[in-house]
Amino acid sequence: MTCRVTQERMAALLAGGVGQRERVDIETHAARCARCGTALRDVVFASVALDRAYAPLRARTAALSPARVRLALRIPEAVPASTRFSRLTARITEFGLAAAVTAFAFVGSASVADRHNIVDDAAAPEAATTATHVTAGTDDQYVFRWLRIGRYAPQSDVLDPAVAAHVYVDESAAPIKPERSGLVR
Amino acid sequence: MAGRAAKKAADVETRTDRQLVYAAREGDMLAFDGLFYRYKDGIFRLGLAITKDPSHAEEIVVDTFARAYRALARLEPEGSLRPWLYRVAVNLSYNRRPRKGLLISTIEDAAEDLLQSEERSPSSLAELAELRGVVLAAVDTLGPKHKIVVVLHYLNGLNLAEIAQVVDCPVGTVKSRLHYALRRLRTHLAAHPELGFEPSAPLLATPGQRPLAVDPLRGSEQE
Repeated sequence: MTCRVTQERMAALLAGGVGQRERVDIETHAARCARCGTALRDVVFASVALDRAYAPLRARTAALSPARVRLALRIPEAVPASTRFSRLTARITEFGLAAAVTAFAFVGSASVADRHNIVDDAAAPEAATTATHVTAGTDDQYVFRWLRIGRYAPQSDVLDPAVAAHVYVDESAAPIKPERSGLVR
Repeated sequence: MAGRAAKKAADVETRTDRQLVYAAREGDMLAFDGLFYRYKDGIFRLGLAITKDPSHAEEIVVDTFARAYRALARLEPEGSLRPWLYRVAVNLSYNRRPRKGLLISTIEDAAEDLLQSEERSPSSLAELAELRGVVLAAVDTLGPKHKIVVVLHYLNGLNLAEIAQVVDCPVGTVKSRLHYALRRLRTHLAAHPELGFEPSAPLLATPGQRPLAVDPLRGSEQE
């Protein structure tokens, strides 16, 4: 084996890229030839220095999740079956609550109108036979007034629909003026 | 439920890259995640060694796997998917401009190294960090073709055939590049006598002696 070939194969020797027989040839030649011996020593020195210098870096790990890749690719995250079920449950509950609130609002307004009718009937028994449902124009007026209580209610006793019914029905009484709010127009 | 998930995760670990690629192609994201966890650290280190910036290295990992996902349909790994992934990562790393200066903390690395050894004096820690910095700075003086061969072999542990696949050249070229890089490094390191290298010290007394007996960073012989 010539010096040139020996030196060319030294790096491969260190990288495990030569067979056993070739390895023995290189080492034998380097032991006999001073120049190749120095060359091999230099290469080994650099190799070991590199190996040690990179040792801490070899222990480094990346705290990364595949979710980052999906985010980069705009792939939606897979939803587990359990989560899917709970989402469906949440939707049903949401819809049920909305339906319940709506139903309560209608039933509540109807009952207010009924109470008004009872009070009115006591005051005018002759009307009791006709005004049993919340269909008459005046009754509708009270219902809507009650529903808009938040915006139009001038006084606190309107919160009690029975009292409110009396107040509004009594046409002989002085008209109730809404109290002025703190806002100056 | 959890037991089934753990069993599936263990199954992913035992499967080959080829099997995982085929499974991912069918839409099995767990298989793709298996490939990610298998190679993310190696690609991260490679990116870190070239760009010197951990955040850049993380982006390189993400971009590499994003490309792998897009290329799933045409990926045909015979053995390992590693050379293909590293090739993409090398291209992505060199497309990013490396930061000036050495951001890889040599002193922290030295501290971790010393924690594992028995010698823990501050002077030895500083000395080790300095030596490590000298060696890594010497690698930076190499051209990109030679530097990548050095990084792939000494940092990522790829063999010559795998490096040849990554850099897309014959194995003989990789050998000569590695040899050239080592000689250049040796010349560069000779300018630092604090490394404790004695040029006149005979290394190969007998043909049977293993050459990897000297630790230049410690200046002592290892068994």
